[in-house]
Amino acid sequence: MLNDLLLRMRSLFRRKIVEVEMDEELRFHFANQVAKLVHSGLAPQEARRRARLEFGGMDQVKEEYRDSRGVTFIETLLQDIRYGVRTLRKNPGFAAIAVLTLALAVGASTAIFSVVDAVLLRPLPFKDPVRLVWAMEHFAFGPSTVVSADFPAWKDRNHVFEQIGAFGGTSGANLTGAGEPARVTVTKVTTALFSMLGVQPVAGRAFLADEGKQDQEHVALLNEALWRNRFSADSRIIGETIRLDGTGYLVVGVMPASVRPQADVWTPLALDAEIFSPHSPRWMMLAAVGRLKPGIEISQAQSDLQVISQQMDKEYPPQAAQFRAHETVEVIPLHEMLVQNVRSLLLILLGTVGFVLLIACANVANLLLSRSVVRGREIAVRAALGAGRLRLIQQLLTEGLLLAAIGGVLGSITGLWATRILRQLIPATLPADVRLDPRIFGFSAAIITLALFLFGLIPALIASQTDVNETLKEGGLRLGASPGTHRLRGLMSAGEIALSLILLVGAGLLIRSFLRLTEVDLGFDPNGLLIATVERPLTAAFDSQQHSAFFQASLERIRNLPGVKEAALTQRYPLGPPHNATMMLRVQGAENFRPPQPITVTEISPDYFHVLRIRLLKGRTFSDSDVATAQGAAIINESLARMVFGTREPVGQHISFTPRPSPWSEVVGVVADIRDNAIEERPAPEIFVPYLQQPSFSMTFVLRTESNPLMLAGAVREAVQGIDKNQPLSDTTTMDEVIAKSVALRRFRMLLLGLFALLALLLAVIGVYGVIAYSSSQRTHEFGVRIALGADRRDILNLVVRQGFKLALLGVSTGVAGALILTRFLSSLLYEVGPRDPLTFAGVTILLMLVALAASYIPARRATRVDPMVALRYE
Amino acid sequence: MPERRIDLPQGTLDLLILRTLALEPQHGWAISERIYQISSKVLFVQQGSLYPALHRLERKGWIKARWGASENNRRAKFYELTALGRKQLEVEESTWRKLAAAVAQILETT
Repeated sequence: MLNDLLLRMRSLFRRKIVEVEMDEELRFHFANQVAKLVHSGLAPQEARRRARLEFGGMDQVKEEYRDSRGVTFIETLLQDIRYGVRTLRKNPGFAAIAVLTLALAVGASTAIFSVVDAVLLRPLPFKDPVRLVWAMEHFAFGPSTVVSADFPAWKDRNHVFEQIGAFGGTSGANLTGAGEPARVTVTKVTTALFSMLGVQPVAGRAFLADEGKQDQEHVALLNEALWRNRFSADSRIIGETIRLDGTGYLVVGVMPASVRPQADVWTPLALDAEIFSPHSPRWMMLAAVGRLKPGIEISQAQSDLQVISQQMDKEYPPQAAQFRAHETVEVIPLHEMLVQNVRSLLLILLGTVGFVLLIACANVANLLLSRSVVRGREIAVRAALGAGRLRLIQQLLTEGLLLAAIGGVLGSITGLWATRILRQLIPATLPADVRLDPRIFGFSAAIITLALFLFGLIPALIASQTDVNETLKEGGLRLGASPGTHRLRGLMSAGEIALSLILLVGAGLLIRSFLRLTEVDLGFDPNGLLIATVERPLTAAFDSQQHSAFFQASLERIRNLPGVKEAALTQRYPLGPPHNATMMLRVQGAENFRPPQPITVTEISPDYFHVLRIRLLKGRTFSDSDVATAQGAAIINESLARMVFGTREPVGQHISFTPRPSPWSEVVGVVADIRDNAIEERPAPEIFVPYLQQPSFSMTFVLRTESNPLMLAGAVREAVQGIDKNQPLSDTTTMDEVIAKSVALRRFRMLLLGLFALLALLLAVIGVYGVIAYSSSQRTHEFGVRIALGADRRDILNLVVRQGFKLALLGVSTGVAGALILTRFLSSLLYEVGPRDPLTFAGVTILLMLVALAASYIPARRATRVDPMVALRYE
Repeated sequence: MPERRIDLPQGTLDLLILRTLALEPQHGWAISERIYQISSKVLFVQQGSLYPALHRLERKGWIKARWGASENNRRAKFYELTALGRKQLEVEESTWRKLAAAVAQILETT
C-alpha cells in the first residue's frame, strides 16, 4: 500500500517527469511496432500508417494511462480551481456579491453559534457538572429559594445527594484597611460548597468544615478579580486581616473569578447559626445546590426533598402555617437554572441566522444559475468535446466550492469578531465566555458545506443537463434557460421574500414592543436626576438613630451644593435594585385582612415625592414634624389603596406592617402609582414611611440638578465623606442611565433581530431584482416583437412588473403563513403587542410588496426602452 | 495478420503479463509481442489496455519498473516480477487452471 501511495504522490508532484516518461515509453513501443512491420516486408511509410491504426489514437491511450495513475480526481480538481479563480477574477462584481453575501450569513451564524455554544452547549466549568442540581421551594408569595430553617433537614435527611451546599445573604460591605474605602459584595456560602463544585483556590485554601461556627475566628475568601485589582495579586494577603463594615476577617484563600456564586468576598455559613432554627425570629432565603448520587434521577430528588419539607411543617410554630401552605419543592439541573433567561432568545436568534443563511444560499444559487445560463455555450461546447455530466458537475461545483471557501473563511473571521458584541447575551450568573474551540470551527465548516450543497449542487445539476444540439444551434445570445430552471429561480426568490418577511415581522414586533415601552407613563420625571447610594456599616457600633443623623446631615450638605436644585432621600429608587417586600400588613378594623401579594415598604425623606414629581392624589405628604417621637405616618400608593380599601376613603385609616403589638400608623396621603420594579411591570402596592420614623442603614440620595447630573457626583462624595471619611458611595448614576439599563437587553435584542431582518430584506431584494432583470433581458426579443406589433411601452412595463408582483405575492403569502406559526415563539419577548399584531403584519407585508415591486420596476423600465429594430436584429 | 483475434476475457490480462514476466524482465512492446507469438497470433493486447494494466500492477506492488537499454540500445522501461508478484502469479495460475478445467468439463459433458 505504501508502494501505491508513493507512486500516486510521484504522479501528482513530479507530473512533468511522469508525463515525459510515459511519452518515451509509448514512442518506444510505437517504434518497435513499426520496425517489426518493416521487417515483415512493408514499406516504412505503410508500416507507420498500419502501426498508428493499430494503436488507435495516441492521446486516448495516454488518457487511459493517466487515469490508471489514480490521481485524476485531484489533478482535475486543481485544474478546476485554477480555472475557477480565473473566471471569478474576470467577474469581480459577481464574485464580490456572492462572497459578501456568504460572508455575512456565515459570519452571523458563527457569531450566534459561538454564544449558543458558550451558554447552552458547553458544560459548566465544574467537576462532573451533569450531576449538579438547583433545589428550591415555591411558596404562595414571591421568591423561589430555600428557607434557611429547612436547609439542615435537607442536608441531613436526604437520600439522594452526595453533597448539598447553600449560599445566600448577599450584601454589600465597606471594605476598609488599605487605600480608599471600597464597597464590596459579600456572600455567605456553606463551607463545602466550593469543594462540591470541584473548584480549587488560586492561592491559600478553601474553608474548613468548622469555620463560620459561632466561637470560631472570622475568615474570608477573596475573589481573584478583587485580589488582582486591589491587592496586586500579592499572596502575602493570605493570613492578613481585612475589615468588612469594621469587623476583622482573616483572609485564608483566593478563589478564581469563574466560581459561582459571584461575589467579591465569601464568608462561611455554618449550620449552627440562629437562622437555621424553625423558631428563629428571622430566617434567611438561601439558594441550594446539590450533587446527585450516581444513578439518582432529578424527579427522585424532588420527591425526596418534598417529603422532607412536609415533615418540617410540623416543626414550625403555628404562625408559620400560613406561609408554609401549598409549599412545593422543585429540582432542576444547575445549568438549566443558570441559562433559563436566555435560552429562548438564543434559540430564536439561531433560527434567525439560519433563515439569513438560507436566503443567502438562495441568492448565490440564483447568481450561479444566471451565470451558468450565460455560460450555456461554454458548457455545451465542453459537453460536445466529450466532457461527461459528472465531469461538468465537478467543474461547476468546484467554482461553488471556491466561493463557499472564500466566503466561509471571511465569514468565520467576521463572526468571531462579532462575538465580542454578542458577549452581553451571556447571563452574568453563568461562568462562561465565548471561546474558540473546535466545535465552533466545525460548525462553520458544516454550514459552509451545507451552503455549498444548497447553492452549488442545484445549479450544477441543472446547468450540466444541457442539450448540446439545441444550445449550439440557438447561437450565442438567446441561450434560454429552460422553463423549469426559470420556475425554480422564481420559487427561490419567492422563498427569500417569505423568509425575510418572517424575520421582518419578528423584528417589527420587537420594535413595536420597544416603542410601547418608551411610551409608558413612568409616573415620575426622570430628567436631570442624580442617584447616589450610601450604605452604612451594619454593626452594633451604629444604631439606627445614628444612621438617620448621618443621613440628615449629609442631605443638608448636599442640598446646599451649587448646581443642586432639590434633593431627597429614599431607601429605594424607582427601577433600582430589588427590595424586600413584606407579607405582613394589618389594617385596623379589618383584622381578617391578609395581603394577596407582597408589599414594598420604602423609607423616604419628606420632599421625595416633590423631587421626583410623583403626584399626590389625596391628603398630604410628609413634613418635618413626622419624626420618631410623633405619631406614625404612612403614605400609600393608588394600587395599595385600591387593594386594601376599595372604594373607602383611605386617608385617616390606620395600618401596620410590623408584628404586633406595634403601634398603628396613620395613612396621611395617597400618591399616584409609578413604574417601580421594571418599566414593563404593572405598579405593585407600596407603602412609604418617613425615614426618621423607620431609619435604615442604606439610603439613596436623589438630586434634581441644574445641568449634567454626573458632574455633581464628586461633590456628593466629598459632602458624604466630610461627615464620615471612611464612607464610600456604592453606586452613583443618573436616572436616565437607570432607565437605559433597564431596557438595555430589550433594546439590544431588538437591534440584533432588526439587523438580521434588514440583511434578509436586502438579500431578498437583490434576489428579486436578479430574477426579474435576468428574465426580462431574456425576453428582449419578445418585447421587440411586441413593440413592433404596436404594444404600448406601458404594456411592456405591466408585463414585467406583473411577473415581479406574482413572485412577491407568492412570497408574501407564504411568509405571512409562516410568520403566523412562528411568531408565538417571540411571545415572551413582547410587551403589550400580540404575536399576531395586525398592524405589524400589515405594515411588513406592504413594505415587502412595495420593495419587491420597486426591485422589478427597474428592469421593467429598461425593458420599455427596447428599440424594436435592435431587439429583432438581436439574433 | 490473422483475421481471428480473440478479445481477452476479463482479468486474464494481468495473469498473462505476470506469466510473461516470470521468465525475465521485459519492456512493454516485448510483453505484447510475446503474448501474440506464444498464443499463435490469437491474443493481441492493445496498447490502450497494456499500459494502464502495467501501471495498475505496479501500484499493487506485483511488478516494478526500471529504465534500461533495449536490444537495439534504446532507453526502454523494463518491468520485472516482485516477490509479491510471483506469489500472486501462483494464485492466479491455479485459479485459472481450475476455472479452465471446470469450463472444459462442462463443455464435454453437455
